[in-house]
Amino acid sequence: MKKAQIQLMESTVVMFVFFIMIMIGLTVYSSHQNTRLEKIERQMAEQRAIETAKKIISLPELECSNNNAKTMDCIEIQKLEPFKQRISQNILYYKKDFGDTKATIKMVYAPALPQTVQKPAFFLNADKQTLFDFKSGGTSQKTFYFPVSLWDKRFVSEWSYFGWLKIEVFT
Amino acid sequence: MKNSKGQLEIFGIAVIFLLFIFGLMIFIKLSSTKEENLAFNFMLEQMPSRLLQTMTETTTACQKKNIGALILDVASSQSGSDNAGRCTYTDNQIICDTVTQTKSKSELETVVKQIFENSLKIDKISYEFEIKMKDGCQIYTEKNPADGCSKAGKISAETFTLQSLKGKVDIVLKVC
Repeated sequence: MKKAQIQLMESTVVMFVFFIMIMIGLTVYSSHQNTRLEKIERQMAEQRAIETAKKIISLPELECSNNNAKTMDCIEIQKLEPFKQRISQNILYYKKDFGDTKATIKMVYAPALPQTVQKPAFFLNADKQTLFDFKSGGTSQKTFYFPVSLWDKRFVSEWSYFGWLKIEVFT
Repeated sequence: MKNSKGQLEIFGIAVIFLLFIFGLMIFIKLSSTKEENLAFNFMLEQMPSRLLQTMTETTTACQKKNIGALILDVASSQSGSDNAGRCTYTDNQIICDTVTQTKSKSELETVVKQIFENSLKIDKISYEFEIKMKDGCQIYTEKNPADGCSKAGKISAETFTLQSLKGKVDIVLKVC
């Protein structure tokens, strides 16, 4: 083989190796970008789930108030049943607002009631009740638990029960 | 001259190879970065303060006093501590039930236990809860699991301080 041919072959091999390395680099970069985009998408879904959960725990329809002073992390028991009915009459409105979400509320602790007083209507059948269920598919599920005071305004001053709000957001 | 050119080429290949390995290592490191669970972290951060707030306001069967008031009553009746650092008490506690002679300490323990068992514990959230005199004896303690948050990667904690007749009482909750 002539010297010129050897040099030409050498250059070709160098070019080939260089090309292969560029290809590997591009593949690695694009796969990294894809992973990054998927991660961003997952984080955005989690952010949406957080926003929904925040919206539900501060629903004005359920908030406790005394002389127009709002109490944080509190739900008035007597507002639960009317709220459930209101949801069943305006499903589209609330579903649009909350998305694929399910909310369950549990009365964890309440002192024994006087004999003449019945359990609050919302918890008459069971201590754990579904507030609403808008689940319609969704593959990923984020579950949030929030402790809430459940105010029973049949007593003066109102009794406060310990409640456990479970919010499941499906994305 | 020919020999030194060959050495230079080998050196060039070695540099390219090292750069390639270096790039690969950066990629592996970037792609293996642990993803943050935003939703769980949000709940974890909110949980201790919300739970302590809600719990201290909860009405109990003991003369319809809330848990915060029961803690203050128990703390005000403490008289010292035993060898294990637990508080000892005088008989000056509120009597919750005149028939069974249940006192505020016993009622407090029953209610707090019920709250934790049916909330954090049932939903498999690890926690450590403690009621203690500031820099003093222990009134109540509970952990789930038995070693609490000692092995947890992320812990969220909150302390509420109440003023009793015998000094300050700390209510500490760690969730992990």
